[in-house]
Amino acid sequence: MATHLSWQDLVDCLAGEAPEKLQQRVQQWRLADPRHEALWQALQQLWEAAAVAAPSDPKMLEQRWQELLCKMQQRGLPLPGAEPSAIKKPCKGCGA
Amino acid sequence: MLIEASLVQPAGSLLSAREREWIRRIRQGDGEAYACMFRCYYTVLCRFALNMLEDEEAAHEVVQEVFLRIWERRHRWQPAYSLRLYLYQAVRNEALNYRRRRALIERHQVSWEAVPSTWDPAATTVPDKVLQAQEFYQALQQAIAALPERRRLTFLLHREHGFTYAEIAKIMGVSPKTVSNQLAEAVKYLRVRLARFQVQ
Repeated sequence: MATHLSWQDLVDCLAGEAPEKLQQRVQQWRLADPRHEALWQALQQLWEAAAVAAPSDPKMLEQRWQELLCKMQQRGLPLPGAEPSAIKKPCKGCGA
Repeated sequence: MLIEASLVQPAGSLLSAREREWIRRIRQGDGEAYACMFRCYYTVLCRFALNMLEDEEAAHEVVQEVFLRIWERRHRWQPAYSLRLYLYQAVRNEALNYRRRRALIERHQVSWEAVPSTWDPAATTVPDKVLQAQEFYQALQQAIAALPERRRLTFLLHREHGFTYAEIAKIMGVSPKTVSNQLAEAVKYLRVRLARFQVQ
């Protein structure tokens, strides 16, 4: 790795947390040497692969909601009354 | 006339209009708003708890406890800054408590046998050729699992849960600079572990 860029610089850039000046430095660093570009590509591949979110399973969610209601009953709490599956309006934000 | 205290927001609050509405309604005992919040956050919170506890049932137990407490104390419940951050912080605290309780129980058990780990990073063999995406993904998951806990959680909070440095800093109780350091160390380690994979 070039002496003027640290791992932290590269990761800040990947994370979208780098100021513009640093982004420009990383861009120059990538152009300066094909090995730099190869390393950047490898880091980017790793970075993107780690961002896979677990999908929500409606059956599991319903089962866990029922469990939660049972626990509420055991503790003598009033039940919320509405089940997640009974909500007709889609949730803004999460799209669930 | 009663003043609606739930609508008073502290300075710097990042609560969205939707979150404020949920909180207001849940404080009034609205089960539909509570169910909607559950539906939105339950899966990701379980994933986060699983990252900490490495035990799926324990993760569900911890997250359900957080939701139970919210309902139990709904009339006084007041997340001040961000609902999402509040929930992650609550799950983290509950998971730490769970781990302490479990450690205490295990210490007092007369006969206890260590559960063998389901995988051994050292024993993992990866072919030298260019590998398929699935193999890369599996190796990546194993490498992430082998990271020290704080580093692993920091990395996953960013990559899987989509938090910013500032948000992770709040959840983990550290500075954003530490978050940046932890991420850099995590990536450096993962790069070494996955160096044999060629970029396609």
